Amino acid sequence: MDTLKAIEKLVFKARSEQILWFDVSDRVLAQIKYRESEIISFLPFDLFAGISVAAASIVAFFSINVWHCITNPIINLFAPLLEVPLW
Amino acid sequence: MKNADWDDIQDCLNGDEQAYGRLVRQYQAQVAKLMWRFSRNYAVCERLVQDVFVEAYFSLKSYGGKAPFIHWLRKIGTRVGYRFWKEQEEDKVNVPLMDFDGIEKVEEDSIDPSQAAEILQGLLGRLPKAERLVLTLIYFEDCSTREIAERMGWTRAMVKMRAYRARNKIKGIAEKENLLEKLGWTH
Repeated sequence: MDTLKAIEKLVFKARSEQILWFDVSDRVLAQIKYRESEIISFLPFDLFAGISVAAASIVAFFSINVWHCITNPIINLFAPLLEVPLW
Repeated sequence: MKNADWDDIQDCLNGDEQAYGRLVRQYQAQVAKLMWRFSRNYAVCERLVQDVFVEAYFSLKSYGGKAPFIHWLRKIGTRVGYRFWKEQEEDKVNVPLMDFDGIEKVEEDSIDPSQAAEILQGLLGRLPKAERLVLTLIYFEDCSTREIAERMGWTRAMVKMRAYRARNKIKGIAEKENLLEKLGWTH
């Protein structure tokens, strides 16, 4: 007999294999509840993270404007001395 | 699609978990039959069936109702099963290869379906996972190449090529293992 024909015979027989019966419905529902509770417990963290991002953006916006206005701090340190009259 | 299914799906989306329980009970046998092709270990198969239904529940919004619900579940099941093989490969889990030496001679027509499936899955287990998947779906689920391509998001040409290669390889493996002699099917 040809090997592929033998495999086809096995396939034909294997298709009628009976699978053991089991009921997973309760476990599926329990797993869904567990995963949903996990999602809910992450919500406050998400909210806190969102507020933090918003606050950081506002601070960054004002900081950039101030950064553009600021002169060199070292020059600012010696500026009063430069204005002292030498005579 | 059956109206009852659609009603249950709508109820699920409105937060009725019992409706989903009804869907699980209705389709679990068909899903279990598919997942049994990915693992013949009873406990693993049970876990895979659970994974399919949990994944389906969280993707329920994306189900449009164009095809029957079981088709959609089979698509998820195939992907879950394939991911299981991938994880086994990545985790380097040593799945013992079937020992073909233990096969006893048996008449062609009187071979037990479970024994036939075990031998076949033993042969398929020696193929690369993509080729294994294609032949598993063709052999056990009687899937067409178009259906496999749709389930996996592959092109049809790729599926055809994999099926061709897999058939050649499985023939080679069976010959190397002297499967026909061991089964006594040499006539």
